[in-house]
Amino acid sequence: MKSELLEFITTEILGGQAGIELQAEDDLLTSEIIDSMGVMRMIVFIEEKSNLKIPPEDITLENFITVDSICRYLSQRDAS
Amino acid sequence: MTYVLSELLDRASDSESTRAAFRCQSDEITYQELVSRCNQLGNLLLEQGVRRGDRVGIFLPRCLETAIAVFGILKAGAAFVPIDPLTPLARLRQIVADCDIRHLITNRKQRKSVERLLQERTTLACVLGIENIETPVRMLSWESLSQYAEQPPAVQIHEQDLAYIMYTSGSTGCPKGIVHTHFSGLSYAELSASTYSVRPQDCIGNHSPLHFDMSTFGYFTGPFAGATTAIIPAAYTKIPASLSELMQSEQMTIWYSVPYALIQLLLRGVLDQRDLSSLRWVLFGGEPFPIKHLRALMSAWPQARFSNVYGPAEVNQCTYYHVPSHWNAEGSGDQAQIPIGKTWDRTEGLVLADDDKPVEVGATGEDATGELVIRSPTMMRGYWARPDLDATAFYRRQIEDSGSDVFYRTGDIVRVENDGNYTFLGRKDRQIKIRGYRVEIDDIEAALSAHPAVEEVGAYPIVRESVVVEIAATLLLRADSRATTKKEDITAFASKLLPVYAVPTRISFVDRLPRTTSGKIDRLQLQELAQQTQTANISHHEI
Repeated sequence: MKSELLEFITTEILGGQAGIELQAEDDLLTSEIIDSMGVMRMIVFIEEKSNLKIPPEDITLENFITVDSICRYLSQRDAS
Repeated sequence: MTYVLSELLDRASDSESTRAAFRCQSDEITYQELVSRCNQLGNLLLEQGVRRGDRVGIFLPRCLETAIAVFGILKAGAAFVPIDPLTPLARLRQIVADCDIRHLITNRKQRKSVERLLQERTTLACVLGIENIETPVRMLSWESLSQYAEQPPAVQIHEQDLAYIMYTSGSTGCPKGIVHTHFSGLSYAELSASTYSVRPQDCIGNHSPLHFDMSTFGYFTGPFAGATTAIIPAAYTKIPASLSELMQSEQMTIWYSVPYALIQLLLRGVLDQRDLSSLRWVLFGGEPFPIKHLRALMSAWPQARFSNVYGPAEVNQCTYYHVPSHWNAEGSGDQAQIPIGKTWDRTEGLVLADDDKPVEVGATGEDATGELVIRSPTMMRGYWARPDLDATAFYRRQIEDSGSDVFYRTGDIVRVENDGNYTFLGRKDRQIKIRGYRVEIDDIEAALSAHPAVEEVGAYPIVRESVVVEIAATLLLRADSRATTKKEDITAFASKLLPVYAVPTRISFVDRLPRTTSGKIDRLQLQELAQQTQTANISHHEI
């Protein structure tokens, strides 16, 4: 999921902007990489890829601040 | 009497010295600390050559330093110019050059943009907030502030002096600077504080970035009342469930944002799991609020009062409508519009018919419809270095033998209702004629957004050789309705509410709507996209 997500954000959301090389530990939200619409698109993408439904109460800063934190959240969901 | 904006801080520092003036997540600054820091910044700027009337840029993300920058610049007798921290380089250059900015206040998060800005020659002589960039421009750190005196800088400024310039995107793509004075800024602070009876105990949720005029409520009205302003960090504006959690933990009492942010809170903010009973005022403005969403929010926060705020940045605010609680009840249909209300104190509004003459008192319907013009102490002085815009921005009412009263032309079409409230019908330039019929784009949007499956909508004309040939609408559907809603359903629904010529003939569904930096739906972009597609199709057929 990690590499797919990085790829999705880089190409679909950032539109392949030159000079931005996204890392899994990069802050996606504070650094203005993604806007509120971008968050929604990312969630649709994750739901499709993971076959999980992400309830609104789980869409928090803690779970979505970096690609790493998203993957951590998803693996917890898998485990439960 | 208070005559200049920075006196607001001095006053609050006397009465509310230990109260938090601004808060940003875990950072906070009391009024007493803020005054000291602003005095230091004022002294630093004076030493760096800032003089009365100079324009000093603020190029900061949402953070506590924005408050120090605003009032420190004012303390130095200069005017602050907030610049969108995400603005493209070319626009940043345009603004710096347009009002001859020589001093810029920023921080390390803006490093990349500042580096690129300084690669070419600009008017800049000094940058505060970043160090170690290879440049002839003087670079100072925020830390260096502590070396300066905490006594107020000795400057002579008056209420008619320049206080701040807000840039908005002009229709030609060239940003235009709206010039406000200490008097217009203070008048706004005073009128808004009294309209919403803002008290020291209040915590104001400031959702707008500094470069957006709605932020004057948090930055001026908060200090006017000695209240606390909570600056919402950017990350929270994107994650509604975390935003509602922040509102709860900060015990916010007054909220002010565009409807979009409130709709996000309603749909994704898990409001049923939050205790937001501290909220007493919810202010919204900037664009129309679809009534079904407003109703739902009023049910979620029954203790709060809701106020529709209206006013172009050129006049700050000028009218308001406190939504009565019965709007919550069934009765008036979902396509009904919330009025923008009546002018607030010390403000006069006129409605001008097509011939530029005020409509008659007591007129109704079409006879009471026209462009709203406003005379108010909160009005701008004019546009920065744009006499061409100033020449058309104002309406002058002759006073016999003694000059004229000056009104700002809002460019907004309103109707005066029987109860004296104004209803916003659309932008003068958003009123279109299709096959001879006059149509308000906003009416179309209001009708479409009443459909239960519709989350948001942007409507716009398709223009070919300067003639409106079609009306189109782009819709974002609610996630749970996407699979089941067809374009025909939307058209059929709209046909029940709109005259036949106003029903959009072209409907498209999207996953996201483009937005302007201030969060409004970017209808111009929708229109351009649609017209490109149309042109492509036409050339295809013609070949």
